[in-house]
Amino acid sequence: MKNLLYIVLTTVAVTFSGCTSEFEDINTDKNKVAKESYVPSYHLSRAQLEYTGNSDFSYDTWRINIIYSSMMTQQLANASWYAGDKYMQNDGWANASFDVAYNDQVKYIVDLLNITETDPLYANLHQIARIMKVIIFHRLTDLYGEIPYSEAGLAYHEGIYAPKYDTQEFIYTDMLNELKEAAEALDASGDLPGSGDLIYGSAADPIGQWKKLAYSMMLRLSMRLTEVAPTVAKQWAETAVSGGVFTSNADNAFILHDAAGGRTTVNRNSNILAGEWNATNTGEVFLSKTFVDFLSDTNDPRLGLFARVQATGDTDPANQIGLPNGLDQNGGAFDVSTDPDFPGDITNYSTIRDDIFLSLSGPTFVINYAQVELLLAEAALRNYSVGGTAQSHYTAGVTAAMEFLTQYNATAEVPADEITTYLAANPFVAADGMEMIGAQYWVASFLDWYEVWSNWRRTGYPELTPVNYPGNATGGVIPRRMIYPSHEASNNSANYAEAISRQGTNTFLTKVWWDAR
Amino acid sequence: MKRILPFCMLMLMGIVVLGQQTVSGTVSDAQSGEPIPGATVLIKGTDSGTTTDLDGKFRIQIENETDVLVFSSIGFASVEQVVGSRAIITVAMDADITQLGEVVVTALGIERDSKTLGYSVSRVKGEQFTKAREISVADNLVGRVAGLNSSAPSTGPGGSSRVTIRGNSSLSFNNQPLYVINGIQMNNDNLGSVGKWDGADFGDGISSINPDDIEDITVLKGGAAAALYGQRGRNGVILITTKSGKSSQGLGVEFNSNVAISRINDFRDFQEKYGQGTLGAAPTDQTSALNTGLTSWGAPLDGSMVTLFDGRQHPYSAVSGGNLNDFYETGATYTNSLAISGGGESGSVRLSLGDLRNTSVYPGADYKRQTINLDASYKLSPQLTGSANVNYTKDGAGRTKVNDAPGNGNYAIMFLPPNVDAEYLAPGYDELKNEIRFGSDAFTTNPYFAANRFITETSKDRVLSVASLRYAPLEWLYVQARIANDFYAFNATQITPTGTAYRPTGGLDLQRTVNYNETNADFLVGINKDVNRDFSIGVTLGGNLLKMQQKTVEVNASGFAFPFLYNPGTATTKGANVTEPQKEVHSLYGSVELGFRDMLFLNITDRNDWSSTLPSGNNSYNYPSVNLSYVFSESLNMPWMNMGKIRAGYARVGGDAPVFATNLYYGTLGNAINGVPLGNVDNNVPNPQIEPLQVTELEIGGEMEFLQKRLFVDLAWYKKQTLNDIVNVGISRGSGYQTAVVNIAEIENTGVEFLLGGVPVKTQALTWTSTFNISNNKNTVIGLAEGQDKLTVGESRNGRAFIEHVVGKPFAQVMAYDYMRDDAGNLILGATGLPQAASELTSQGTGVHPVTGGWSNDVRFKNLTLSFLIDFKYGGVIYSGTNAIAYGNGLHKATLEGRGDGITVSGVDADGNTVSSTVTDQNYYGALAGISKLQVYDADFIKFRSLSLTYNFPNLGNIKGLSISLVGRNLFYIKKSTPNIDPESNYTNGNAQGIEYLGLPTSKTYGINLGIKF
Repeated sequence: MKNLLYIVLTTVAVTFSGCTSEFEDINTDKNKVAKESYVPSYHLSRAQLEYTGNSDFSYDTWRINIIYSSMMTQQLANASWYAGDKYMQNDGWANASFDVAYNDQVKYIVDLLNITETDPLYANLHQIARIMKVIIFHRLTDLYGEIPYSEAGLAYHEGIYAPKYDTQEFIYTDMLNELKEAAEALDASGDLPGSGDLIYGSAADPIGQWKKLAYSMMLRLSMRLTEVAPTVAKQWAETAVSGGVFTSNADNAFILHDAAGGRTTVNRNSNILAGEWNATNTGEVFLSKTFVDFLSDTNDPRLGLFARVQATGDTDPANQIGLPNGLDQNGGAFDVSTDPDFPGDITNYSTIRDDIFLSLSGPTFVINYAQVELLLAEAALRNYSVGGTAQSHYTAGVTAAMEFLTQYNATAEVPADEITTYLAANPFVAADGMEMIGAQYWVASFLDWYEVWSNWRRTGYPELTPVNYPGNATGGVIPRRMIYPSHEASNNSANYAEAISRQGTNTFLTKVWWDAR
Repeated sequence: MKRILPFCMLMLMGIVVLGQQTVSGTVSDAQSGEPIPGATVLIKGTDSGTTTDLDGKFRIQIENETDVLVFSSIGFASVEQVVGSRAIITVAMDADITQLGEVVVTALGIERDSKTLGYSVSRVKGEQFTKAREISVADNLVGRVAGLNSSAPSTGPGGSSRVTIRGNSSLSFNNQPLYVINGIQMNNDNLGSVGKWDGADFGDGISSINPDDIEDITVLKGGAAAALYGQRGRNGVILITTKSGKSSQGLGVEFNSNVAISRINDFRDFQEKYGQGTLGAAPTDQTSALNTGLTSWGAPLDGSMVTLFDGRQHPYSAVSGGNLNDFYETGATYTNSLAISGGGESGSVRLSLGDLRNTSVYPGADYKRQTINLDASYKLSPQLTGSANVNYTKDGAGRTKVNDAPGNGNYAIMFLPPNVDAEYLAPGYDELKNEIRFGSDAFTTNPYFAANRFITETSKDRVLSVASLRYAPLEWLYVQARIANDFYAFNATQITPTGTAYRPTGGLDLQRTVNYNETNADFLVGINKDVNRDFSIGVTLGGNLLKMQQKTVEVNASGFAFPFLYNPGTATTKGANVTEPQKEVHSLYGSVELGFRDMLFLNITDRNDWSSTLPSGNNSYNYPSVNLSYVFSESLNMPWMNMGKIRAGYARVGGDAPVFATNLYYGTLGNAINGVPLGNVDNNVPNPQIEPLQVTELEIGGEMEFLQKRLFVDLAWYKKQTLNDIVNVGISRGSGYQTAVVNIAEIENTGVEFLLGGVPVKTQALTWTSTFNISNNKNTVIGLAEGQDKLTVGESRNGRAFIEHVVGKPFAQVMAYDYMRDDAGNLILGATGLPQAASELTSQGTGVHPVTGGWSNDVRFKNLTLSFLIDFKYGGVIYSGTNAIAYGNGLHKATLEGRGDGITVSGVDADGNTVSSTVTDQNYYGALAGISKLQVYDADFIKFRSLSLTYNFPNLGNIKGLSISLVGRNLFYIKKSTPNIDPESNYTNGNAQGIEYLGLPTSKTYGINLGIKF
């Protein structure tokens, strides 16, 4: 009886008192922390790492960087299912960057901006976040054109669940301004980003490095506009140079991966090409004939560092054969055996040297000095006031592109005399300058195929011969844009429709704003 | 027996003392011949009567020969007999199928006379579950209750079920009813279900209950019935009462044994004219065979010898017809249960043991379930009764993956080209246990490798326990306190084995341990009093304290030091995470029942909940209900109508939010990069302003019985509205997140339910009982967030079909792409001359059937009973991934048109110019595979669901009952319109209803059942 009474009375007491004082505590997730207890630099690390590719089995790296970009730009080739080799349309793959970049890069960088905005302890971190934000959106808009930008990543802070799409012109204008303001606001005597900055955290002068990175990115962004807005391009390129861009390979911006963390932290390209997926060793991914032939025709000393015969591992430049794009293994008119140079078996084609470029703990480059010099060469060729001559920048760019390979692997050294020989054999000719610079930029950006594809779209160099495989989505033309995900049509319908009405249909062939060639 | 004897003697003595003219007799169950103890025997029109003893015997004093005796007992139809000159009356009572005019268990276990209820209640007897049984109780409910829609996803034994009552009232969250087992609110969460990518179904709560233990099931359909259970009752309540020792005569032993075998249904009707290959050519060597592993765009099958993926020559002729029957095995289920019960005047005990062993049709998959159920009650004093029930279930399953191709054995087996015999792929691995690939796409796993080497295992230990004390100091007053607990420990392991083509080093994909604990402490004070001859009053007051705590630990690992050993301790890379959802809900409630002259009843309830999941200003919500029952037959004198009643009710129910949904939390990923932690924030946006949701329901109905219950009818109409529905709305990725928790939606369900039953034939030897039910639920999504016209809840793996809630249309629209056309209806062709999919999705219909019903029959001829159930669902559609893939790879029969010659496609180009060209069959049908509207089918069906033939052996001395049944389940479709697939093959039990994507094929089951009672 006493027990019964006790139960009744306690239940009555608890319920009647409406005793809800502990409710907030009960409804607090104690396995995570609130904003106040958080370490802001963790956000920077996440955003930077995700920029190199998604932690879910290199989701976007595999689909956009490798399957589409590397194949469309004819650095790599595939004779089975990599849709980009033959311009086949796979929406799920072509959506990949949009699908993951906002959730895994933009969310963190925007939240980081919010956390650091008014806190003097994080004044420099805030500027670094602004620069990183530009780096992230730069790639996204290059892939898709108009995208959510000014209202992006604000679902929590401002309740914007359906952000509008901004025009690429607006985005570029804002990004260039952001780079300038952030670079100017960086304070050499202020806070340091620490090890949470995966790019320059361990550098001697991280703040100075971020300044250079901001101006180098500004140069890259400005040069994107050469066709669509030449005067804007000139003005910003000159601003970038006067701000101070990279001056040596020591400035290179890269993120060093870590094999120990599995898919989360490994090098994204490497995990697909030579790691868990191992595509270069299973007869799936080869160097393209276009790429191998270019290096071979110019006696480029890098050929033996880039290439190996898949079956034998032979790195002798003389024995390298690239797989032509647009072939299959189905025994028909497009079978690999129809290649006049068919080496008897598909495994006798060349693929990437995994010992040099595909280490699971190897670096992913954000931007390198060689790219900066080659862009300066082009700017000089266009008579922008960037100092030096097209030839001097070209020479510095090619040299840097050969020397920086040691940052992938110390053994990948191109001897100085071979560089000299190469430059002597392939002297800069101003009349062919655009083409020469474009081709060298193409090689210098190896593995960063997003950038390879963008610069090719803008300049048209190197000249690539498209393939025309049955059933391709473009009628035998190299795609100029990736495709918005269909969930945007349902979850952000009005803004999505508006973007399409301004920009053009959601296809491979619609060009982004700066692609005015 | 010692205690019982004096009681019997007293009763006899009493009768002798009063005795003038006496009648005696026996009351027994017409079906089993067993005596019915405790049946009431009343002299009609008086208060005098008696009850039958433990052997079903009675003796009663009557005034004269014209007296009518009324025999009644719970679960049986009342019988009236004129005494006449008889001194001995033998009565055989039929089980009451009408469930009207009976005592029913309602919310919180309060027993009430059904005529007083102003809302709809349905009952299903336990024996319906034990013969033509499904492994899960929920799947047995299909077709039996008007307004209840039960379906099972195509995931195999031990998988989950989806039961909804009166439609779906929540867009994002649970729409299934609350299950209450002996007063214990059971958590029925799905422990793992299938999403866009892949997955397996880890089962739910209701699959833990042993059907043999069920005494009966009461379905409280509406909000009025459920108001006292609070928010979890808003989708209806299914009250399950397990058997107890109450009705035992001394020691009773019951044994039931059931053996059933299952075979899959092969609904494929694929083309068998063209074989493997591409561009009209058969493979020329091993490489081209590998590159066309699942591609049937080859040459006409001509019987020539062709090299396949294994490097061997095989005849190029149609040999794939038996593939499904070769790959899938004959499933077997052995169910045995034993129950011992004993009872007497002051207490009773029942202990049951159940054992189920199933081997699935999917090779290597199985399901085992052991249950122990102990029920005891004891009268501690004349006023105080204590009772307790403990139900322990241990189950374990080896499961199949479904949906996407990696690791899913159900995928490739379906699409092997006509010239590829499944046997060529067996056993799926070589001597080093590496997967034998049959195609170049490593993600399409060899089905034998998937079945033989992949591991998806779950196990669960569950204890449902309840203890209560009931103190009734006065005849009209009781106080009851009860503590109920639902505890389970769940384990799931998913392993990608060493040697898998797409992941040669293998991985421990998931090691999940869940400990769930929910306690409900409640009290009730009840008063029942007849105020005077005309008025009666009942008041119930109560309170409930709900406390839920869960702890989930998840581990994954890869990079193992030793092949085939998946211990995370031996892995170079591992991740781990702990989550601990918890909540409390405090409730107070009361109910007042007023009766007038036994014909008019008014019931008013009110409840207030305080929930911890809501923000502090919004965490209290109150909801009332009122209902009225008018038994108009009491005031009419129509001999042909036994009972007639109309009822009306209105109820409101509130509901809280998911846990931890009011704040943004910060964490890190499991792995650090070179020692630096990586930040992590969930992709769901929290909402600090969330409010309680609200469901209101208006119900009007009536029930009537005619001609001595030979005919009865029950009709209900309801309108159920959800306001402020809390929704996990899909938002633009551009927002940085994927979903947001918001209070936006408004949904309406309006429906009618109709039940017609009767006993068309009733003679001494032959009885035919038949009931038919049908219901139609019209669901409409009234509103979403401002500016939002649809909410995506699911997506097919190929990204071509979506399940969306669309404003103005019913729940779960199957959205697909039609052809892209210009305003004049011409096809707009792409650059390569192929038809294209429209850029916008269009609605193809709802994935949830609005019309459901069933026709069940029992024909008893002497000791032989034939039962069958035919059920149907109408008005729903399903997107078939199987058919889409079959278009793309040239297996679908539709792809025969134009084969080899190419297809001429006419239309307009992007600029509107008329164009026409001939494209290859392969490209054409490949394009059609993406025009997903072509693979949305009408999912209506009529199914011969179950059949059983039972023989009850009469009078076997000590054996009180012996029956043997032959049973069949899911036998065949009388009507279906889905080519190549079963219309009942949704792969999830969640809200994304209407997508089929390579689940486990459905099966039909045949079995034999033996029941013995001592």
